Amino acid sequence: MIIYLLFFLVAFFSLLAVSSKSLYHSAIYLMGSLSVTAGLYLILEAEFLAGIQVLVYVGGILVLLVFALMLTQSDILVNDQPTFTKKIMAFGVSTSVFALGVWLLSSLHLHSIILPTASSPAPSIKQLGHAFLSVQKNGYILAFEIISVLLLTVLISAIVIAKKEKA
Amino acid sequence: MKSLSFYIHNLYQNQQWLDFILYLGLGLILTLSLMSVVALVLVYAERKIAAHFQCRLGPMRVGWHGTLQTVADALKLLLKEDLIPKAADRFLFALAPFLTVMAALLSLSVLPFSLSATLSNMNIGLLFLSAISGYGVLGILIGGWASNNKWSLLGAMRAGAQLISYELSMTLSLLSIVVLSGSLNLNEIIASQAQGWWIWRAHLVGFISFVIYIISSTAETNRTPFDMAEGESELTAGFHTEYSGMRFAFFFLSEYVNLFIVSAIGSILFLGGWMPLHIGEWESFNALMDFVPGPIWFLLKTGALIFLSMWFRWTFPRLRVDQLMRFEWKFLLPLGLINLFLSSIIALGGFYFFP
Amino acid sequence: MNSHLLEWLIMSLFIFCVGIYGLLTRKSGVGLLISLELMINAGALNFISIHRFLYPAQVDAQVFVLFVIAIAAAEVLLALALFMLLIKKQQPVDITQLNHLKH
Repeated sequence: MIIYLLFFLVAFFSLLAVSSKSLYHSAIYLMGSLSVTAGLYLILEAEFLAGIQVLVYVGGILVLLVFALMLTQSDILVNDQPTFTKKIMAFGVSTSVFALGVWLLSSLHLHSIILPTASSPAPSIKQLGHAFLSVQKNGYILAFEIISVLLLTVLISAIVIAKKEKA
Repeated sequence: MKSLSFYIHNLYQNQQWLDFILYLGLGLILTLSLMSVVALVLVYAERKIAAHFQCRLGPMRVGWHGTLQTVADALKLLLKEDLIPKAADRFLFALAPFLTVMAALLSLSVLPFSLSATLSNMNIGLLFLSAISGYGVLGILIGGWASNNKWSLLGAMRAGAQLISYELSMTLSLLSIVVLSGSLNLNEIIASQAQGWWIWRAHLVGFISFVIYIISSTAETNRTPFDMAEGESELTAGFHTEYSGMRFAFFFLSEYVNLFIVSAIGSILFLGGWMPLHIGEWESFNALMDFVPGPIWFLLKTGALIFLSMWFRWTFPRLRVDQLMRFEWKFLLPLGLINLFLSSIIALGGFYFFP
Repeated sequence: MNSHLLEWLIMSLFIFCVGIYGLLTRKSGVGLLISLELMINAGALNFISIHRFLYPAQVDAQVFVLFVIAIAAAEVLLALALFMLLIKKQQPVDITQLNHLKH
């Protein structure tokens, strides 16, 4: 029951996030959608991921987004309304993608797979950390290092892009 | 370990609806009452302490030594007219105080008052606490923007920039304790301090991260010397300039509850939480200390840290914005990184005092 | 009352399609970013639900989703830096008008 409630909330917030006129409202609805997704992760026993989701998305990305929105005074941000034909076309495209996906999924016979019980525990945070930093066959140390270099590069390049130009 | 997800799990596995609803309802009532009591006590304490620092008496009229002053103030705030500026964005203006209060409320729900008196013993407790604080930042930013007022906007921008900057070094100092204790669960972190509190057990590393934590938590709660967000002489009242009545009360409430929460986290991580004070081989002293129950210890340590924060307020002058940012990015953050590195060396080698 | 995998996959597919709709209709860059975040989020949810239903003992999906979140953060940071630059140059953050390279 609680799962369907969360499903409904995710769908509701996502729809509002793409359709509301003001982008400030959009950002808040995006926050709702991402937070409820963290709730879904809790149900899927990925507690660490749920925490990281809220930490990075709400505490990082959304704060940045709202900050950037606040720095600007532009009409398009409070009134980003597409034309009717554009709406219809986008609706057509997204519904056909959805229909295609549902058709493909329904041909896979996934009804029999139900949510595992607590007797099959999800990986713990320790296991996750070991997987990140392990140099064995199943380790992700290289990807981890590359991601950290990527983040550093992005940080520096963001500063370079946005910094004041010398007079 | 009975965490929230355990209860959610139970709900759809065994359909224990009544248990779940009782748990949620009781938890909500307990946290809400704790929140209001904390805010009332802290506001009174702040006024009294401030007064005595300035050789005044502070509130004296309402009740014995002014003890009912904050109750009267709260009543006044509730009865005040709730104004919404005409040009404000009504939806966001109404939402912002709720976001900050929600962050404070959720953070209170995971604090362990003793081993048994823990509402939600999450295995990601510390991560949860630092994640939830993001909603508070968002609430401040949105409230400042939605008021459609220059001072509010500037105050919110300053607050936002300050909060995201200082959150970095705060998280780094928390991480060094996570490395030392090897867990994110708050009760396990406390249990790992049975031999000695982290503030002195890990050579200087624990102490340095305690200092970093105290500085950055003062900044996180927007208190002097880091209260640029509401510098009265520059910005009237910062992000809550346009708020009045109940909504202002929400911001005010969450400010003091946040002070309690950061002090509580400090006492949990560095001062052993509900763990009684033990000194080496002094058996009788230790036995005497064990006699005092855990919640008392927890509240005592938290109270000490809160007093420290109030002491700061009347000791240090306010910083300038550029000084504040320079201090964080050029001093505190590198120090935190070095400290994290050292703490992982100590944790790997097991070089603790009192092993 | 047990939830089965198909519901979860359809759910994330739905969020993904909502993201596509937003991507096609929004004009401002920030609006595009918001839709893009929704789509990334849908992908991550898909990953985790398949992991939980089919391979609950393995960590790989969670590691992947953590990487996805990190990359999403990096992407937003860069995009916002670009938008800030545009705003500083007094240009609108409107992707229908952003069709010049550096003049």
